[in-house]
Amino acid sequence: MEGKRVQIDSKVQRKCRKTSFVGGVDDRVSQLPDDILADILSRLSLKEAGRTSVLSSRWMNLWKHTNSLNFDTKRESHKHYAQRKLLKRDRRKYVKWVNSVLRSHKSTVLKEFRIRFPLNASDRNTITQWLEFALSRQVQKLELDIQNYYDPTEEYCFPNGLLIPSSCRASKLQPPSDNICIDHHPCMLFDFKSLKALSFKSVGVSDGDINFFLDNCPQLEQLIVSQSKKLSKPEICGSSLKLKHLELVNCCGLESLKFKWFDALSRRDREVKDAIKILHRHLKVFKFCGYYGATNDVELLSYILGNCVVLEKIIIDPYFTWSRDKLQVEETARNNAKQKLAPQVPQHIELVIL
Amino acid sequence: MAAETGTPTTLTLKSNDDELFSVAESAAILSVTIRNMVEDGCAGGVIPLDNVDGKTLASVITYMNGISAIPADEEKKKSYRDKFLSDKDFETLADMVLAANYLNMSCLMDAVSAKIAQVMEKKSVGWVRRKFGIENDYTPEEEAAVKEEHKWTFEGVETDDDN
Repeated sequence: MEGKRVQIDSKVQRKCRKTSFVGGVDDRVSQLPDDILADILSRLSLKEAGRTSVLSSRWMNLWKHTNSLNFDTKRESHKHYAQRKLLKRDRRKYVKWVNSVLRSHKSTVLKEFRIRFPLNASDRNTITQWLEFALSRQVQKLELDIQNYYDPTEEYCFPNGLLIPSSCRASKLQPPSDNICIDHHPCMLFDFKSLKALSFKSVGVSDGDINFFLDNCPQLEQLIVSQSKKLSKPEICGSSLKLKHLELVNCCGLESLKFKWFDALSRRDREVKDAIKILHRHLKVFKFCGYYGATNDVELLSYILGNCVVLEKIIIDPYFTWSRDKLQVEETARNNAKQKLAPQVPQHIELVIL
Repeated sequence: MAAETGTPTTLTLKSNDDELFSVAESAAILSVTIRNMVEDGCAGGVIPLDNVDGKTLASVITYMNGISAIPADEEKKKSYRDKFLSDKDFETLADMVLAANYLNMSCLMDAVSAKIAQVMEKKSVGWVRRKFGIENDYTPEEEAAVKEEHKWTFEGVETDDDN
């Protein structure tokens, strides 16, 4: 196969050299410069972009410059959950597909890189290579969703090796930085500065990894960690966090969650319980999903009430999917909210208990 | 500058087929290329735009006037862009994206690229070739080989070529 492909490429390239413009007279779209066409193709799904290779020789390699690699098979993957044999077969096919696209991909930068398939830990090395691929292309939006309900194996852990300083040669490639956090990792293997959105589902992400991302991704606006068994006491902290969206979902090892903000001027470290003066000036609606009525639930809401100065609405949603006596637990939580919270909520804030 | 004197300044733009257009400076400087010329003091006489023809420039100026009349409301601007591009054919869209690139107007460039992509979405290879006037220069053997190599791009795909 490999030899055959090379042959086709060279044949068509010869043809391209012969005619500078291969489309018809009205074919304005094909006359657009490569970078504009690549930008247009980046807006299509990967399959649709790849399909344009068949249009004409002008288009054969354009899709390989797409800056969006979205390997999403969500719609197709439902069928896998029922039959393990099918899943195993299609997993091999998926890995082969991703690898072949990455081998032919040409763009040096990536806006988006998304892996979404029920993989397992035996694909560990391959997944790590994919992450390396994306990170070496200054990826902005990175998603790794390998949720695998029907064939659960050992958790794939975010590889620490990617975070470890490399040789000093690599550091010369890094632009000089005035970010103090970078000082901890002077010679990073990859440049994390472009990352704006990170999403990990069924990937072992540790407290240390979270710290690393917050310290080294100054553009990070969205962080999602779902079903990580390694997460235990994450601290969301930083001197100039741009984080707008944080989701920690179904992390069963979670013991505590600490928000710690550094005051840019005084550089004093403030923890939630002492953070009376740190006001959130924009938060208007706070929804608490899975309210249980435990002491720390009430404490968190007290903190929200005390610090969110423009808060207009609190929504309490005592929703439990995992509880056997779900209805009873929810009813208890609801009563608890009415008794303990309602008196604390000022009149100008609407309290909604679902 | 117009903002300081209180009277709106008008610029004269010249297309590559020698058509002249008058446009308010406040609208024209949506183009970074034109803005740089104005800032460098080159806007006294006529601004020649060598890479844009009259027909396309007229369209771009309509866009400049329309979008600059909308206050800072991203939703309204987006709906203006959508409406502006809705009746444009593919040739015009291709000319517009080239002009937007030359004039350095990222918002127009972005909108036109998105529109072209939207047109291509869920369409068969044959449909795109016909609509864009793309000449298939593959031999049947070459086409079959490219298709074979990109087999995955045809899997689980439903095309909708009804318009």
